[in-house]
Amino acid sequence: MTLRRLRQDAPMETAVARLLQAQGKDASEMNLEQKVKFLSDLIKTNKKSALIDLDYHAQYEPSLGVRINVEAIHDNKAKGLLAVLASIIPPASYYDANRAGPLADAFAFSELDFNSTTAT
Amino acid sequence: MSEQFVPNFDKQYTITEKWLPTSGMDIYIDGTRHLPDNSSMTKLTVRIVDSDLKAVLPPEVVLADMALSSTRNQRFNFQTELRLKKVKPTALVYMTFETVDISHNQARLVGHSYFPLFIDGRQGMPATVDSATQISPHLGLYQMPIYWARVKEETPFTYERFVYLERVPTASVLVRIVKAPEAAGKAISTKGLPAAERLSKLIPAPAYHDGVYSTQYF
Repeated sequence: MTLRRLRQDAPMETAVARLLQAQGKDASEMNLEQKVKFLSDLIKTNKKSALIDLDYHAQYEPSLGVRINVEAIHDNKAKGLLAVLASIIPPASYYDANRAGPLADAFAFSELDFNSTTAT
Repeated sequence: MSEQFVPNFDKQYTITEKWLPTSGMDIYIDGTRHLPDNSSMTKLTVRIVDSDLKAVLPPEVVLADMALSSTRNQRFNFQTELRLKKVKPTALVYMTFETVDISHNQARLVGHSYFPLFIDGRQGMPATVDSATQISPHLGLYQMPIYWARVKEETPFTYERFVYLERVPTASVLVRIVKAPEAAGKAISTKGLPAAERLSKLIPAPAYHDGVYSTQYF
C-alpha cells in the first residue's frame, strides 16, 4: 500500500494509461472509442463480486495519528468529583522515564467545567 | 470555507408545485466526489425504477469523462429525460458505481446511491407509497452519499432501502433534477435532436465550490 499522504489525485487519463498498462495494453495505441470499449468490458461486477476495499482507503497513517478526547462522564453515581487519566498502551510514552521536553501528546487535564453536575 | 465540502441546507423544491401528466423533468448526474484512493475509472449504471422494481426508463451505462476527471473527482455529465404521462410517485434514480480497484487491478463494486424523484405533498417526504395523490417533483441540486453495501433488491423498493446502509467515507454523487423546458404548456424533449444541438440545450453543471448543491441528505 502507498501511504495515504503520498497518494495523488491522478488525472483520469494518467490513471487509465496505468490501468491499460496493467492489462498489457498501450494507451498511446488506442483511440478514445477503443479505450471506452475496453474499460466498459473490464469494469464488470456481478452479485458475487466484492465491494471495494475500504481498508486501503482508511489505512492508518502514523504521521497523522489520532487524537482522543474524553469529554465528559455521564451518569456518575459516586456523587463526587472525578478526574480522568487516559493513556495509550502501547507505547505508553507518557510514562517513559527518558522522555524529554514538554508534553505535546498527552494532557492530564485541560479544562474543568464548573457548571457540571456531579452526575455529568 | 473548505472547498472539499460545502454545506448547503437551502430548500430546493416547492411542495406546492404539482406534477401533471404534461410535466417533465431532466435528470442530471454531474459527477462523483472523493471516491476511495484505490478507485480508478468508474462506471455508472443509472436505473430509474419504481417501488415494484419495474424500470421506468431503460437502464443506461456511462463511464467517467477521461478528459475532465481525476480519480477522486469524476465527471459523468449524464443526462436523461422523464417524459411520461404516467409515472409512479415512488420512482427513484438507482445508481451503481463500479471500478477497477488499483490495489489488485480487479473490478469491484464501489457502491450504490439513490435519488427519489417525487415528494409526497402530505408527508413532506419522498413518496414511499404509490397511492400518494399530492406529489411534487423533487427538483433541485443535491449531494448524495454513496453506500458501501449491496442494496436488497426487494419490493417495496424505496429510498428507505438505502438510508441505513454503511457509507463510502467522504464519497458522494452530485445530482440535479431540473424542470423540463416547455412549449405551449407541454414538456419538450431534446432526445432525437442532432448531438451538437442536443448538447447545446443541456444545462452545464455548476462548479462544486459555488455551494449550490444541497447537502441536506448527505
